[in-house]
Formats: sequence, C-alpha cells, structure tokens
Amino acid sequence: MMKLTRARNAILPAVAVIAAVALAGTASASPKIGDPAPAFSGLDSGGQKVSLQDYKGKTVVLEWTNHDCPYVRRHYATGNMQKLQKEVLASDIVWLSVISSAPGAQGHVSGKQADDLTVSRKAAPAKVILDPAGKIGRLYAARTTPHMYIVDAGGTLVYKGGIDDNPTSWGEIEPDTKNYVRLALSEMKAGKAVSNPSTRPYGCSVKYAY
Amino acid sequence: MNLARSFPFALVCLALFAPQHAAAQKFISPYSEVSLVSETAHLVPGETAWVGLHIKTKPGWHTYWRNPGDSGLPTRIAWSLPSGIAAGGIHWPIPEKFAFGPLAGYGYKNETLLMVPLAVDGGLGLGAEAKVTADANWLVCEDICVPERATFSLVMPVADRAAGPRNALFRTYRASLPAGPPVVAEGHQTAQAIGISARLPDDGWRAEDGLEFFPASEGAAEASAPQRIRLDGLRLVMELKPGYLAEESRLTVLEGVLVSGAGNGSGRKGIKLIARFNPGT
Repeated sequence: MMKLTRARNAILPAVAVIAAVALAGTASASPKIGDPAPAFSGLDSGGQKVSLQDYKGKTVVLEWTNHDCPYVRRHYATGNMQKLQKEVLASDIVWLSVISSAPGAQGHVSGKQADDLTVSRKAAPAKVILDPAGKIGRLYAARTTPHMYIVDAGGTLVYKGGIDDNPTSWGEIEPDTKNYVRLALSEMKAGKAVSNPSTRPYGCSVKYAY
Repeated sequence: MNLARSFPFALVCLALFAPQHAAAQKFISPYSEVSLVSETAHLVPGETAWVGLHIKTKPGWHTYWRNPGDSGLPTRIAWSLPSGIAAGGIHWPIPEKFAFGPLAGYGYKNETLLMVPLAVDGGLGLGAEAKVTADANWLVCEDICVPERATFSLVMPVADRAAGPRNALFRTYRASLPAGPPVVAEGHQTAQAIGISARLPDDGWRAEDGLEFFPASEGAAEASAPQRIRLDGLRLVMELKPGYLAEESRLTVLEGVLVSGAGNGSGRKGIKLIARFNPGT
C-alpha cells in the first residue's frame, strides 16, 4: 500500500483554514438521536446539488465511506454493503454515500471515479456526495469509515453508529452478525422505536482536510 | 474474502521464520515488526509466567490501546494453550494520544510490549514442553490503516525453576504500566460534561507535569476534546466532554488511566482510576 501524503502542508483554501481554526482541533459535537438531523447540502458525483431537505418525507441512510479503507473494502468485497443498499432501494429509502476524504488523502475521488466505483462494485447508492472539505462530515461528527446514520421521514436522526457489531476488516460476514442499520430500518418499518439508536462506529478514521 | 489474498506478508514472513525451539516467530511487514516473547524460557508449575506481544512500528505509525479513541481497533490476542495453562488479559502500557485533524486516537508509537500473564497449574508435569500459541491481530496506522494478523508459537519447557536470564523488555515495560490499585473516584454527568473527582495517593502527582485522562471504554468521553483537569493538593477534579455513548445514556461507571507527563517520554506515569456515578446526579 502506498503512503499517501496529506494536503496538510499544501496551501489550503481559506475556507478550510477557517474551518480548522473554528474547530480548534476537536471533533464537532455529535448530532443527537431524536433531534432534527443537521441540514446539509453538497455536490454529488455528477456535480449536482444535493440537500437533505430534498428527501423530506423519505427515510435517508447516510454512509460515510472511503473505498480504500480495509473495513470498507471488506463490506464491499463480501457484497454486504451492496445487498443492504439494494434492500434499501427496494423499500423506497434513500441511500446517500458521503466521501469526506481530503484531496490527496486516502479515499478521495473525483465524481467520475466515484461513479466508476459504484459500477465496478455493483453498488446502489441513490447518490454519492463529495465532501472534500469535510463540511458535512464535521456536521455529523463522522469519525470512521464506515459510519452510518439514519434520518426518518420527518427529518429526525434515529440512528448513528456502526454498520454492525463485528469490528473486523477480514473474513466473510458471519451469519450471527447484527447489522444495526438493517435492524433499525426493519424496526422503523414495523412502527417500532429503534432499539440500538447509538452504537460504536468502527473502521478507519475519516481522512479530513486539516 | 480470502485470507491468503489479504495477508500476503503474513504468510511470506511466517514461512521464512520456521518455528524454533523456545523462540518466537517474527512477523515483518513494511509497517510493523511483531513477535511473541517470553520473560523466562521455562514455565514453572504453580507460578505465573509472562509472555508478551512485542510490537515495533515504522516511524510515524502506531497501534492502538484498549480504547482506540475516535477510530482504530485495539490489538487482540486469542490463545491456544495446553491444559493446565491459562492466559489472563493484556496488561496495557500507558498509551499516548495522537491527533489527526479533528479526530484523536490512543495507542503506541514506535514500540510497545503487550504483556499477558500465564497461570501455570501446580500439577503440570516437569519435563514436558508446552506450546503457547497466540493468534494476534492488530491495526497499524499512520494516516492510513493496515490490518495485520499472524499466529505465533513459543515452545516452553516445564521446569521446577525458571533458569537463565530474564528478558529485560518485561522489566522495562512493567515500569510503563499504570499503577494499581485503582483510585476510586466520584462521577457526575450533565449534558455538557462528565465530572470526575478523586483523592490521589500522596506519591508526587503535580499539575505542572501535565495531566491527561485516558478513558478505558470507547464512546464515554470525546477523545479529541480538551480536558479540564485541576489538582488542588491531592484533590483531583476533571471535566470531560461526553462522547457518543454518554450523550445518549447515563454512565454508571467509567474506568481509565490518569497520566502525568507529556508525550511518551520515560518520565510519564499513570494510575488506574475508577469513577462510579451516582444515578441521582
């Protein structure tokens, strides 16, 4: 694996510098379960504007991702993530993949590369949102890839945390693995409260610009 | 996913290092060099022997503590042992904190020794050879992360005394374990902060040495947030920012290690602390 050099020492856009100073080196507060999910807008892989607001009335799944992170790779190599995306698509739920890797950092992709990855991995996100400045990532305090969130049809954050309860980067997905996102979506469908609304996210760190 | 495809280095390295009598195999990759070592060559019935995973990382790279912080994974070891030998948990050296932009991790740079006690049954027959096998996995990261995994074996003869020199690494790393017994502390939680107060033992804790608290469980306190730690005589008062778990539920207990001395220098010391939270506060 090649060592990637971060954009840390490069001349950063003024916006990124201001963001870094304002954050004073700490993760922003994590959005709370039961609160309105933070509103955001960004650009998708096709260069089109996407807002959370666009999906009002629908359940939205947010997936922070980095295709070169070994944890993410496992979920795509085993077909686990695509399977869930297809179930979600069939249930009229919106799946948004978000890439917050900074330019030069692992997982950073162009819109074209993001689309190529969707095709080559047979993935089925509704959109891939490119967040190279880490604006949306910081708003959600996304810390790992994968890191998952569910926003209900009313715009309330109902789940945040890991994809499942099996924090490893190798092997097949064990049959007894509890996929928290699938579980939460089925509970929501049954009109029940999400039983594990906040779990431990695991994986690689999000490669933020700083 | 196929293991052989994911761990070409592990397989290559282990093939190069054939098992040797009472010597560890070594795992070598571009990111880490890991071996299983023992403090003494022999196991003595009725006594505790110490073995350890000796991890050296490439400069700038690190492995993780039991609580890795915002991301990462703790090193794990699964033991296969003959009957009459039982492994305890990892005795984790005092970690250090490293920041990556808005995120922070807890772990070890350069080198560490994760020591594990082996309880040896008093009835174990002298003269036998015990094969101690550890299936270990660890995540080694710089900015990017590489998961690594290897199986190590040591063959240790059972003898009535541990002859020969002791591996000095164990003495060195014992000095970097947090001191026990744990200091019992009082915790109180609000939406904005986790407050912890305790009386420290009178053994030279000074605010000016720089104090830092490492919570042992993930998600209780925000790893990257500044900590307010005051020391008034022996009275310790800390304020931590709640992590994602503490935001959604009330803590009942929080264990951790209070460390004095910045960086990873030899002047650092740590003490275990266990805070109990009053449900009414």
